[in-house]
Amino acid sequence: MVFSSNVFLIFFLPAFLICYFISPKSWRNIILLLFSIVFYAYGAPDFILLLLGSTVINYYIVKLMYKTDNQRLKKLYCGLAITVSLGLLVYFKYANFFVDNFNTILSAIGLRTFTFTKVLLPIGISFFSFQSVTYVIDTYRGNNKPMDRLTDYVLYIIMFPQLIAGPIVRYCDIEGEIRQRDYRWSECLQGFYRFIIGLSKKILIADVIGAQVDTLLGGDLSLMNSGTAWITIAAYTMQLYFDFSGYSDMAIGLGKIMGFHFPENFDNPYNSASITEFWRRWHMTLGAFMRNYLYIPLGGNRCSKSRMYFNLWVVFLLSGFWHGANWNFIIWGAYHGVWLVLERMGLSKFYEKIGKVPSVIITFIIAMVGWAVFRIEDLNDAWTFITRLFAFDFQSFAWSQGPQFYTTLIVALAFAFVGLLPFGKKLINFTFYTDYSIKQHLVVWPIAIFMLLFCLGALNSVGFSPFIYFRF
Amino acid sequence: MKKDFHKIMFVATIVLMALLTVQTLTGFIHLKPLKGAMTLSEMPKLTYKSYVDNTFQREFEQYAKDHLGFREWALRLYNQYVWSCYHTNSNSWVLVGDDNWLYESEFVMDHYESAMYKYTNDPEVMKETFEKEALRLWKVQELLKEHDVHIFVNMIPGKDVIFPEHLPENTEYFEPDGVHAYDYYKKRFDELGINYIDNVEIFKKLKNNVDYQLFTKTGTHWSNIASDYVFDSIINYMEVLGNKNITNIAIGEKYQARTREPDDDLGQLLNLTFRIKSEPNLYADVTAIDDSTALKPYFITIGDSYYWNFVYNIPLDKIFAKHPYWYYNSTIYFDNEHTSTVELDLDQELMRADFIMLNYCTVQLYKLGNFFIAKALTHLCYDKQTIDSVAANVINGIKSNPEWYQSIVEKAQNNHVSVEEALYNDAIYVINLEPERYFEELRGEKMPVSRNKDLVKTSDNATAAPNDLQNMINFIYSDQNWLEDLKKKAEQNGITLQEQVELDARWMLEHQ
Repeated sequence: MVFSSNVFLIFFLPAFLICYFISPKSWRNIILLLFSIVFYAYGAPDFILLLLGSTVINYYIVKLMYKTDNQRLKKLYCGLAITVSLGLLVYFKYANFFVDNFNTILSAIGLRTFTFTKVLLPIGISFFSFQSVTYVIDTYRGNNKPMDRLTDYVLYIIMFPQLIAGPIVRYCDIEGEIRQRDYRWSECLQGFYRFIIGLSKKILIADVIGAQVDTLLGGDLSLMNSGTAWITIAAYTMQLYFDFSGYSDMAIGLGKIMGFHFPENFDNPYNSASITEFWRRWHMTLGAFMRNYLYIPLGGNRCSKSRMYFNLWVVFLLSGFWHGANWNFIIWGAYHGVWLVLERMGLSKFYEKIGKVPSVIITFIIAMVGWAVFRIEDLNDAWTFITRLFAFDFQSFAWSQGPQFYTTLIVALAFAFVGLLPFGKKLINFTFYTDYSIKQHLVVWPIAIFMLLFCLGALNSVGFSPFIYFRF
Repeated sequence: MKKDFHKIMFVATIVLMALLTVQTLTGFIHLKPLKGAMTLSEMPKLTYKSYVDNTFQREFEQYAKDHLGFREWALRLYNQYVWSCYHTNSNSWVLVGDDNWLYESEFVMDHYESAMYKYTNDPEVMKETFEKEALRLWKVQELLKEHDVHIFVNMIPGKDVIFPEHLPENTEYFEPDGVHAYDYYKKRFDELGINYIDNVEIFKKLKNNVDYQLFTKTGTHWSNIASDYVFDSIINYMEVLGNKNITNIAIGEKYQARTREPDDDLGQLLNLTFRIKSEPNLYADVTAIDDSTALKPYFITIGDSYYWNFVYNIPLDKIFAKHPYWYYNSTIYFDNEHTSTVELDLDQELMRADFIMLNYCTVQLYKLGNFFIAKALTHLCYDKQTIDSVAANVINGIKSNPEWYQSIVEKAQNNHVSVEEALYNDAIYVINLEPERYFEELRGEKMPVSRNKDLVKTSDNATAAPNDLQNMINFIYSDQNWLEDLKKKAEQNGITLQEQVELDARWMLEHQ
């Protein structure tokens, strides 16, 4: 089930909110857990038992790990728990990739390939595996105690707002709120507004742009002129941002309604003046995870420069691989890793010299080119597309995608860059981080309700084509 | 105070969301329904299999989409936004042309590419099909004439034909060199002497010479008033064709009025919050001219939705004894006995008719008759026994083809009929699809022999109006329950039973 579906908006969410808020506070975790199980089981019936089973196993391994004073045993338990979490991820997400590539090598050297039944990917596995890893490692490091109750731990892993697409919530960030949390009605309202903002970003911007991006990339890329290629990649850049950040907004908003404070996941990433800064603003919770659980254990900055560059590059390579089991994701990760290393090697000084705005433009272009590889899975096609970007062939360009697409794209670009202006910063601060007064609520609330209806209209207008059957 | 305010606002939010759920499930608040025909999905059945293979989830999402509470408001709101801001719409059937002229997508396609391409990319194949159909129609026309039954084609222009200047730009269709059914049929009808009315030429001539709109900006069908004048011509045409005196119509004084149904059918399909302001059109009231000598023919129409304008404007009951409408030769309207052409005894129907009109617009002409012509030809030339013996051979052919046979078995199960019945139905369908394959005499341009002796013209039609009244009065007297009701009604109205019966009979004739 996804948030931008009718079943979620019409049935699941109202039913959940009613049950959650009429229950005594002590029951609310159980209510949330039950609804989260239904949420996951509804969309992925094949995998709910796998998810629950692995979570229960991990819970008990971590308990054993916490209880033992034997360091070697502690390490063993830690390794075992991580193996359970990441083993599932590796199997379900990467088995097909490894087997396909292995078969390619076998056939290249003239050996017989072996048959393998394709593995289906359980939805959300990338996120809940990482959350589980944070629980194991944070407990191992002594940053926190393990959960007393199994249900609380399962709730941490399976909580529906962030189960499917993050943000990746570290165990130490949320542990306290799972045990006990305060409820403020004003926060519930703010959470609702945040949810509506996310829903609008997804339905009114990302989906509108995305439909045209699919059409544009569905054609013969070698015939695409440079103007169309740049518009296409700019559109995809916006689609991805508004889709993903919209989902994060919805998750954060839902969390707020329930009394949780999930970490922010995006901070105007396209306002970044370098790729290093971009990664501090884009999918921030993944960045934090990679930093805390991979980059630092690899040695981080506390080593030679060459080793640091290597660490950085590897982290981004793996980060790319985390996004998907395909070569284009690996190349995309490596591409970003290269830019980060280059910036450490001196490119950032060049950015400082040329000033903020040119740096932001250059960074935006670098990011866009990266998204081309990210979006187009076939590497030959991706390369063709990139060559069209830089062919500077604008002769046959035509504004052929219709006014709604271009208007939405302009609006998306305006929102993406508004944070560069002082007014934009104020607007963002007011929208996301201000405790509204009663008067402000009286204005914002009807707008939010209107937007909910409007989003439902947009969501359901797609495919709604009643035909003429004259008066009967 | 502030805390209470927040609480009230949040509870109100949940209540509104719950209201959305309740409205979705019950639709208890009645809202102005959305315009256009749509098939709404039913609540799917949850089974273990449908859950595990995600069928239930998909169907439930569709159900939620179709029954979304306040859907009427939500869709109109969003449609208004895309219309007002971008002059576009989310209904793929409606395309927006120059100066907000609306066109049905099929007409745009037909204009740029010819609808034939939907079925074949080969103009030669389509020419062959048109040729066969024209020859069949000619044969049917001549065979029916022997029974004083007259068939003719009423060719109607699509909006794209008369107003191509406002069409949306062509961005999708790239095969302009097709053969259009209208061009082919017109030429062959002339050569073969097939009866037809060519409204395409007439409308082209009228376009800049009449004070009313032939097509409105926001409609897909001909305008009300244009169809009134066409029907007047149809009656005159039938009088000449059948050498009969038929009740004529009088078209009253034209008056200007706001665009009314169905002149804005496409506009309504946009489902906007605020209806598109369209230019007013001229309208006129149509009445039947009393003529005691006129006959009331039995008039069958087979065709597309352009017929509905006649139903809307013309007093058909006063002109015709019966006027069943076989919509695309499938669903039957205005016939008390049948609802589908499948139920018909075609021999009987053909012999009851005085006139049969094939009423097709240019876009639909490529499927002229919707298999009626071939079927009629077979029925006019061969009796049931002969057709059944051919069907028996076809059935043997089906049985010798395991795949085909299996598909028939499945069809029988799905339709809850015996395999034998399904086999027979399919065999008949196959024969009617191309009777020339099975009956040598039907091939080529030679006129086949009619089985006239078996076909007897019936005459429950062509009766004068006063007899209708008497028939209705007799019918009322034969129905005891009705008569009892009328006794009470007569008492209430202070008139005799006889007067009340006559009043009711007249009312029935006017309104049924």
